[in-house]
Amino acid sequence: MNYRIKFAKLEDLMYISHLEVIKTLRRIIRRAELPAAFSQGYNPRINLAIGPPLAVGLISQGEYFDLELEVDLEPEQLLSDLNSASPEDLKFLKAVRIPADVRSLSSLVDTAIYTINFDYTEPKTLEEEKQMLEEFMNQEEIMIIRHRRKKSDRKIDLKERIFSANIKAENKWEFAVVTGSRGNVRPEELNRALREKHPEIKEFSPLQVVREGVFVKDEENFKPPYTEKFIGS
Amino acid sequence: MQFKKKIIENLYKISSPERYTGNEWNSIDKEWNPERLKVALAFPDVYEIGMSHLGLKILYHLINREENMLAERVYAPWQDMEDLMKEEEIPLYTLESYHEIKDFDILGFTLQYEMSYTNILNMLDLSGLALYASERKEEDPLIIAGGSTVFNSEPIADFIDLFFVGEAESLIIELLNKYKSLKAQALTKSEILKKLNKMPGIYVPSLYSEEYGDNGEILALNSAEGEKEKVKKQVVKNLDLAFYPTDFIVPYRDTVHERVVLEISRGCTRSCRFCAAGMAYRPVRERSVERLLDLAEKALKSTGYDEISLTSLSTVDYTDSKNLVQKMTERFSDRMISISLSSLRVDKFSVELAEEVNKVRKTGLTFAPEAGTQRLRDVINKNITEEDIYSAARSAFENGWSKIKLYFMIGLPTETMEDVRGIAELAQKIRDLGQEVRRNTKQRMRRIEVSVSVSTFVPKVFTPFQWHQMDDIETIIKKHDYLRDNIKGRSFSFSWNDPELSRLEGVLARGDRRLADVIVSAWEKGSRFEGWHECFEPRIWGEAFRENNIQPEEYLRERAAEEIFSWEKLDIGIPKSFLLKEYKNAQQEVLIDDCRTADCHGCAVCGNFEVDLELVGGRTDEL
Repeated sequence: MNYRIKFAKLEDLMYISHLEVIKTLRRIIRRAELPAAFSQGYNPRINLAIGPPLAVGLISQGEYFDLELEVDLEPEQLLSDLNSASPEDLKFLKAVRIPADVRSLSSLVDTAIYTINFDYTEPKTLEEEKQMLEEFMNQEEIMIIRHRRKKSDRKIDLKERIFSANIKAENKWEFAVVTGSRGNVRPEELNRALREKHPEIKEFSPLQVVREGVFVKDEENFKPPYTEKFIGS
Repeated sequence: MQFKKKIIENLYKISSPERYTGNEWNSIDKEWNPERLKVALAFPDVYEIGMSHLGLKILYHLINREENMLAERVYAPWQDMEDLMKEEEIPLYTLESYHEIKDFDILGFTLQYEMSYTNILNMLDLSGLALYASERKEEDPLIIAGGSTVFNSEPIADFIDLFFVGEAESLIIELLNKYKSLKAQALTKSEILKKLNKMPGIYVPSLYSEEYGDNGEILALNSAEGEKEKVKKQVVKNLDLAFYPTDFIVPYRDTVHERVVLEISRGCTRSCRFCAAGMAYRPVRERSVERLLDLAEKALKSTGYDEISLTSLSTVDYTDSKNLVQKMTERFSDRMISISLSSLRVDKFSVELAEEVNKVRKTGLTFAPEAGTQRLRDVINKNITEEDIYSAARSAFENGWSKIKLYFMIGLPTETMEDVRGIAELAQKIRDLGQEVRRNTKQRMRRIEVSVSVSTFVPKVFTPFQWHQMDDIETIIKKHDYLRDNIKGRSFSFSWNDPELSRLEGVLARGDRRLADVIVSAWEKGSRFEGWHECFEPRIWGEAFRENNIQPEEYLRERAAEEIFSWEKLDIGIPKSFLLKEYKNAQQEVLIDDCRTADCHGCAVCGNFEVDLELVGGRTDEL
């Protein structure tokens, strides 16, 4: 049986990289003594496919992976087994049975939603923040230099990568941005682009950001990748 | 004080932040109540190296089992983290509770290799502690150290309050309890240290001194009045009954050994004359097959690892190795758990054993002939023949291995260019053998690759070669050049150590207390992580030696037979006369056998520790 599993990666694990998360998931599955299916070949590994990477230094409330078991286990049982063998800040939140030929997470997921609490040198009202965001989003383009590890810097346009942006409450900005194979946006870049216009915004801290989760863009809505529409056979 | 928020907020600025966050599965974060003795266990290298050290794992779990104690971990920060800590005024802290080191009662260093000494100083400094023990305050944590280079810890003796000599499981809890009760009596640090020095295996360096002659030679070693003259190494008497952890911490980051590590035995009696571990960890003690299976089962369950590594100084010397390996594969292979062996000997039996655990995946096999000619292998008492090497290599190739790694040393006693040539010739013959097997096999086999790794021999204390003169730089380079020119071609790779680094290791390995100021100078000039090739700067050390008027060559010279050595404040249980006899045997190319199967050679270890060799397969002459 195949499952799509949602998990949260919180503060204690915020600096754990994508590959380290995959390794950790495999070890959790072994510790939980779950009857996982193994890949074929010389070096058999637990069959597991994870969604788009989460940047090192960020926490997330909604990441996903697909897992194949040799048996059919109740999703509730699977969740409690996983949680019993997992560090406190890696929490398994939901498990849904999926057909074996389901669209993979990497081809399906295209959106990440971030909430950011900016720090200002002087306090802002909600109205001022809304004004700032409107001006920001009304630009023709939002060009920024992307620094890449071991590669040359590159100029990118954030505008075309932001699906939507809102102020949810005072000092609570929400951005839905592209993620996965079609590109991505780093919260630190949003901070930097805004700061160019508004120097009163303080320097970026990863503690100001929460990735609310990854989603699938469905016209104007963002839906979780376990929605019936995407997993129905 | 704790600085967790500040640390977490800033770590995104540096590389590999997960080195500094802790929170791993199985890490133990005990409550800080006043009744608990608080111990910070420090490893003077980066996280991924330190996390692979078995001794530290044992101590961590051993101490944390005690209700009235807690132990937390701290590793050396890499340069970018050091800069960040200084900029943000974050002191060195432990990974469990994020308490700064000054909050602890004891800071204990594991001494693993000489090249980490400047990291020890750096860690003291980042903790806000004075480097020299004599300058530290009453309320500062007690700085203790132990581990494999404790057998010559004289170069850092001025920085450490107390050394533990030998295997810590044997006595560490007793030591900590004693310290706790003495501290409760409101005694001063120096009074406490004096009392602790009465315990076996405990060495308080401030109670000992060295006396030098006009030519820099050591005239005498002195101990303070009423103190024992020599400190005797402590050993675990019954390894099978000794504590061994199974709930290993599981790191997130890639570390050197990401697997269940099972120490199957301790000690080695092969008597290779160059080998420090072979002398220092005697006698041989083995764990039983039943206990090892039980430990493996528990550790796999607790960690979720998919590999078990059977380790010891010489895995195939375990007297029931075939049975052990068979039982392990039987029990775990259907769970997709792989088993790996460390330290194979160069013989056919080793290849058979490797075949047993490696039925599917065949990556590489490593052999250590150590020297290129039979004459020189006899000098070092390696006890393997040319025939052993070829039959092992042939057997490996025939069983499908295509990559073989060979370890050699240059600079061994009596070595000539003839012996160096022997290294190249041996490598070529093994390559030819591999290609012949590959031509004639019906199986698909990858291209033969022979990698030759040559390190420069560094004479180590308490070995028969502790008297030997180390090669000078020019000689080392000449030998490297010869090998590089003669181990060439598509099927070979050749690697060697930086000669300057080997030379520094040589100085520190047989050093004395006069080197303390040199190490401080090098640290002040920015020296860190010497063991990492890219971080080592010979220029810094050259200046440090000059400024302190120390001639490094003085420490590399041939020593006189009757000379007093700085490290003889310690007693590893093997008399100097035995080592000297062995040095003479070496020069005359006289071999001695393994005392597990042959007669006792009089190293006296068994008698000195009132132990017998513990061999689970029994004493047999068939080995």
